[in-house]
Amino acid sequence: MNISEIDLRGLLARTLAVPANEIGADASMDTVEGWDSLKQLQIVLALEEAYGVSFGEDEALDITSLDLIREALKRHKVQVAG
Amino acid sequence: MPEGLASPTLSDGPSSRTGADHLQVGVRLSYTNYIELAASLNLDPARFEAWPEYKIAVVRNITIEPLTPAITGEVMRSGLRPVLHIGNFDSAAAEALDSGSSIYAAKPDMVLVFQWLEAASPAIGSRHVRLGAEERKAALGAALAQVRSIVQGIRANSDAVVLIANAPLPPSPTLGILDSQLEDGHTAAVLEYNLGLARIARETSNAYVLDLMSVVARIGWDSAIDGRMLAMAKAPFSQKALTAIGEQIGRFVRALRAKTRKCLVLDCDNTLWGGIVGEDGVAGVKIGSSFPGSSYREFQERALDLAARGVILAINSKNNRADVIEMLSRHDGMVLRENHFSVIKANWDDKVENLKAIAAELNIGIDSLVFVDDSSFEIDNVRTRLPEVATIRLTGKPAEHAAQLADSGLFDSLVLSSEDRDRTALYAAERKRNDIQSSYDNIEDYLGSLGLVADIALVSPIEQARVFQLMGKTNQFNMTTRRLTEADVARLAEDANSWVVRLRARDSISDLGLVGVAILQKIGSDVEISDLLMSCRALGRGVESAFIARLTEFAFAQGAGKVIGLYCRTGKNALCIGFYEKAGFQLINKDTDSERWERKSHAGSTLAPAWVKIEGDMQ
Repeated sequence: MNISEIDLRGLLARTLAVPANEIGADASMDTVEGWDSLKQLQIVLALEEAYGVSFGEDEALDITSLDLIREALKRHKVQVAG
Repeated sequence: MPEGLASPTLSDGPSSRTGADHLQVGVRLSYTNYIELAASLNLDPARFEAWPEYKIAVVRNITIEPLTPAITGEVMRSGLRPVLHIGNFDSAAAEALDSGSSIYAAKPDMVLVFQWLEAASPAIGSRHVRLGAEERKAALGAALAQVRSIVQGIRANSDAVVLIANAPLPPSPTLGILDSQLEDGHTAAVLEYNLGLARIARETSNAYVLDLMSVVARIGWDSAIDGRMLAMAKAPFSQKALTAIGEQIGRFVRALRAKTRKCLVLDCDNTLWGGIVGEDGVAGVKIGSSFPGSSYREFQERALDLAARGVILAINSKNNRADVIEMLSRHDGMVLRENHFSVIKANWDDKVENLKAIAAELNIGIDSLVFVDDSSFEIDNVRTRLPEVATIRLTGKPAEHAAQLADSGLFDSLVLSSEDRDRTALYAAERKRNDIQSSYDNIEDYLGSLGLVADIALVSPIEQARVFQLMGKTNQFNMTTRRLTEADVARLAEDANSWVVRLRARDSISDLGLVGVAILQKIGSDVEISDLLMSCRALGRGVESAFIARLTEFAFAQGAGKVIGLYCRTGKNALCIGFYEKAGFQLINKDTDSERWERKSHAGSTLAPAWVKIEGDMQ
């Protein structure tokens, strides 16, 4: 499956309830206000539902940046393009 | 919104209507849909300023935060602006009993109690097998006493409604297959605990059980409980369970705070029975003891259950009234009869106008109506133009229809204790709700938003079979009802003095396919429309007007002196009466069973409605 970077960032922005332009290419738990360990749970659940994947125990709580999310999605055969 | 995640109703609608669709009760939302709703509240608070607040506090011993989008969204779907306060982790009793605790500072309207049994009482929840009879009794008593003190604490410090989540049944009882055989097994203990919670709720004013046991049973433990998140973050619920729990909470909020729905308005064809009575006849529609008729019967039974609870029933159907009355009075398979319905609107009018008339006749508000139909066109028409009507769009899989009606919760009610709330503010705000939903003043504006296309062209050889089939089965909008053979169709399509024209219709939501046929024949210097028919599901959007406009234009372009339209009356095609008159034709002669209409010029014609785009090649 292929998804677009814009879709992915849009989903993150909505889950974190921030304007889409606040999710930059290097967004992470450290750079986005409100992205804490509780929001991380919602992000994981939203990503899984939206892209039909299921993250492992070793991934779910650790994919705390856009880069790590992209890599994890890639491992689950979801390519983020453009 | 990313592809593939939206619920079916959302993905096939124009994006401008998405917000309104999310707010529509009766549409099942995904977890990401709830996230979108919650985000819209956070990012654009001004939009919801006029809505009355509804404050919910949560006390819990689990990580309940993933549930917040669903709670937020469901409160919004009740026309209320949610304010959520989540108590500290595993501090339920302390917070409930302390009148100065933060959960009361917010003056909540509702307090949710989520005490996960395995954590609240490991003895009952997971170590049951190691307990002796006395210990078991003591553990059960202690677990219930803890909840009782939480609930009584809330009652003493607040007049909020209390919702107490009960416990799902254990998926792997500690005694294995022996468990179900014993009077004091593990499952029995959890059931006893749940009955105890129900007793606490009954003994406390304004307290109710949130039936987590049923929610998890319906989804199934393996799908409802996210073992990974439970283990790592003490967050037990999967996306499916979170949305289902949210829906249940929403049902309570609406039963407590929203205006009660009073009237169930039902479509007929493919809602009360399978098939189209005007096409298939009373004997041909599906209703009775074998599938799919049995599923429609089951749906009727659920509607009658609602009537027994005081809900008014009405019909809103595009049909000849006589056909509907005959179904209600004569067909043995029917559960619902004419006397069950307070109003029957079976006609060819716009269903929105019918709904207004039904509300007026019953002297109830438009917002007391619930409308059920299988057609997405009709449902979208009502949602867009009468957003205060709750709608249920049947899935088209009859086996699911009865559950759709029962699960909508639109007629839920709870008997409330003495505190009767001041609802004036709520009603005033409900009137303002329309502000955030796109609405159209009239059907033309609505149809204009659909992007209707009438693709009109000479029939291709590959389409001839469909044309033949449509000519054979169309009864209601069929001007002459000639039943030609497939060979006749092929011959007329070949003949230089006749044209077989087909109509395909689509809009931005769906493609209706090949839905209309006309056959034009050259007779001397004139062109006669010997056949003109359209499938009923395409009627009422102006496509038929576009069709006749294009046909007359084409006929005059072929050099016709006059274009002649014929109408032959059958028992079923009363719908065609007046069609040629509206299309600018003059009546030339008329006898009991037939009419002949003529049009001398196409000049100045503005027949085709502006909202229908005509395309297609007539060469």
